[in-house]
Amino acid sequence: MKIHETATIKAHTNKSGYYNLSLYAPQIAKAAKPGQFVMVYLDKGEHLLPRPISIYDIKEDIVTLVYVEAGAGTKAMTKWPIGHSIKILGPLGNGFTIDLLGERERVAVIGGGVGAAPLFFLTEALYRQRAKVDIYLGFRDDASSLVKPFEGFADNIKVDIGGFVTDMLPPNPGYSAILTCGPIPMMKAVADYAHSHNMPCQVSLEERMACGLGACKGCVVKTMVGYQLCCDDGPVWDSKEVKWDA
Amino acid sequence: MHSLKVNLAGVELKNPICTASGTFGSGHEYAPFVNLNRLGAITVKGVSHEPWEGNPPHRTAETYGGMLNAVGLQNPSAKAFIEEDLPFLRKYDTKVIVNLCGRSLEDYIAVTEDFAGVDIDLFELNISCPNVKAGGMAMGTDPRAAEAVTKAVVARAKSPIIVKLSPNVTDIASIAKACEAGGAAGISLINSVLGMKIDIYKKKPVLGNIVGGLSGPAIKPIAVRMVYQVAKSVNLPILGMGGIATWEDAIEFIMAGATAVAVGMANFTNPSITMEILEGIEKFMAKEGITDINQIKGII
Ligand SMILES: Cc1cc2nc3c(=O)[nH]c(=O)nc-3n(C[C@H](O)[C@H](O)[C@H](O)COP(=O)(O)OP(=O)(O)OC[C@H]3O[C@@H](n4cnc5c(N)ncnc54)[C@H](O)[C@@H]3O)c2cc1C
Ligand SMILES: Cc1cc2nc3c(=O)[nH]c(=O)nc-3n(C[C@H](O)[C@H](O)[C@H](O)COP(=O)(O)O)c2cc1C
Ligand code: FES
Repeated sequence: MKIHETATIKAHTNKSGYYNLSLYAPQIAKAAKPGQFVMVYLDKGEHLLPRPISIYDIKEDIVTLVYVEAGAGTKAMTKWPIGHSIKILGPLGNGFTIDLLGERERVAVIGGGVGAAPLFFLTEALYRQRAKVDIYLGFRDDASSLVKPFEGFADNIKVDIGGFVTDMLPPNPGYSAILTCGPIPMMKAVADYAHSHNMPCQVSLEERMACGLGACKGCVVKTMVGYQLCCDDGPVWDSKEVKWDA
Repeated sequence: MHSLKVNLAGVELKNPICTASGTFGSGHEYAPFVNLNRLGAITVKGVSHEPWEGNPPHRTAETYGGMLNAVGLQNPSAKAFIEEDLPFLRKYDTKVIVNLCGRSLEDYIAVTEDFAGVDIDLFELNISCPNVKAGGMAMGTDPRAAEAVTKAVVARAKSPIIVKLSPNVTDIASIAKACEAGGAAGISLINSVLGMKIDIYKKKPVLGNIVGGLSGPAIKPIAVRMVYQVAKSVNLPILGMGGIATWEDAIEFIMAGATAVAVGMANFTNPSITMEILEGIEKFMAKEGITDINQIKGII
């Protein structure tokens, strides 16, 4: 069920460039699953299109998002005070497929930059399912505010600053699944790694969106079966379905 | 009580608020946010005889007061629409307008024939898409081509044809007159305005198709002017659109001569905007003592 909900800002902090935005949005909180996102409506004016932002965490009625200032729209968001009400639409998209990842499975969760955001909600869910999770995160600069919350939910956490996250991956992994979100070159390298070890890999992709509802056909990703919609068929795909070079 | 009923090309709509093609999917995408029974009509996304893949990404770009799109009429074909989407729409008490696309006269004829025996209230002949290379807008910018394609489709369609015009012309009235001569039952306008955006850091156009169509509040004054000009030059009902985002905008189009109006990009800014526009119009009528919406049609 997709909900267009009025959400009140409960907390809004800037942790070295990663903004944590906590919203009271009970209906979306109830419905969301890991890897899904919301559309965040801006205060009209200059920015008529909503911004897609992944769900970072859910605690009871509170939906938390983590975003970086990437342009004019996210810059306008940084000014929002606590108590301010906004509109959000969600939960949207397919999310990660994790139903079968139970206590016998070892899973690698690999993120780059703000792509680590949706992976926290994911890791919490995997933890509850008792999967064994190894976390690999890569950042350009220090991002301890994004890394710290993972502690306690994962078996191993490895962090790389300034290099390639794939350099930290083990030569004989044996993971049941690899789940990743980050810059395209990183995810492509992760997908190559997964394929070379015959492990299934799910990637979370981005594309510019207008409606977020599958209506405008604006957010296409090139796949083996032609164009598919990032907002509706995605944002998560099996890495073998994606046509990376398109 | 006031009456919101309007007659668009022989079809009675319960109110003048419709959705614009390509911005409302096939209706079901917006069903959680809009009471579809309260819409005058739903115009579905453009359909063609064969499936169309559409343009490469990016297909959208936000611009000041609007957006560019270059979707390129991606659709799974008229046949797929009839089988998969139409039964859902028919469960609702609203009219269905089907937007017909083609790249050639033969394409337009073929897609019209795909709907033979299918229950559709109105067809909107799209000769104005700026995002397809052949056909599309080329037909909508030449009066003779516009008349010919209108005639060919009118001769084969079981329901009335309204022709959707492109604003990318010097003399909109001459195109509207050509469609009238071709037997159109109404005119719909405007489609999006050809535009372009450049990413100055990547030093590349933002859109995969390089150019695209501008929609949203930025184009509203152009649209109001063109509705006004067409209303003064033909004897056909008009479905007006282009930048409608508030009930005040909708009233403006009706005063300029539109029988009904369609809401496009504004659905992206607020998925339940059509309901808010409808409620705003009802309040305006009550306040102004307007008993029938048709009283203010074309008063300018
Ligand atoms: C499914 C999904 C989940 C995302 N999750 C997060 C998240 O958790 N945290 C986060 O910081 N960012 C996330 N993003 C990226 C975020 O949507 C963009 O950074 C944001 O839209 C930029 O808006 P802007 O106005 O600041 O930038 P501008 O460049 O000024 O935006 C112009 C237009 O382009 C669009 N756009 C620009 N960059 C992107 C992009 N990378 N992806 C999609 N649209 C873009 C904008 O939405 C807007 O319509 C996600 C994107 C997608 C598709
Ligand atoms: C994403 C998008 C897709 C569109 N697709 C179609 C289409 O398939 N057929 C068509 O006739 N017009 C299409 N249009 C044009 C709209 O129906 C409308 O004419 C135009 O956007 C102006 O109205 P607006 O400013 O309210 O959006 C599309 C517009 C957008 C933004
Ligand atoms: S954003 Fe409209 S279809 Fe995906």
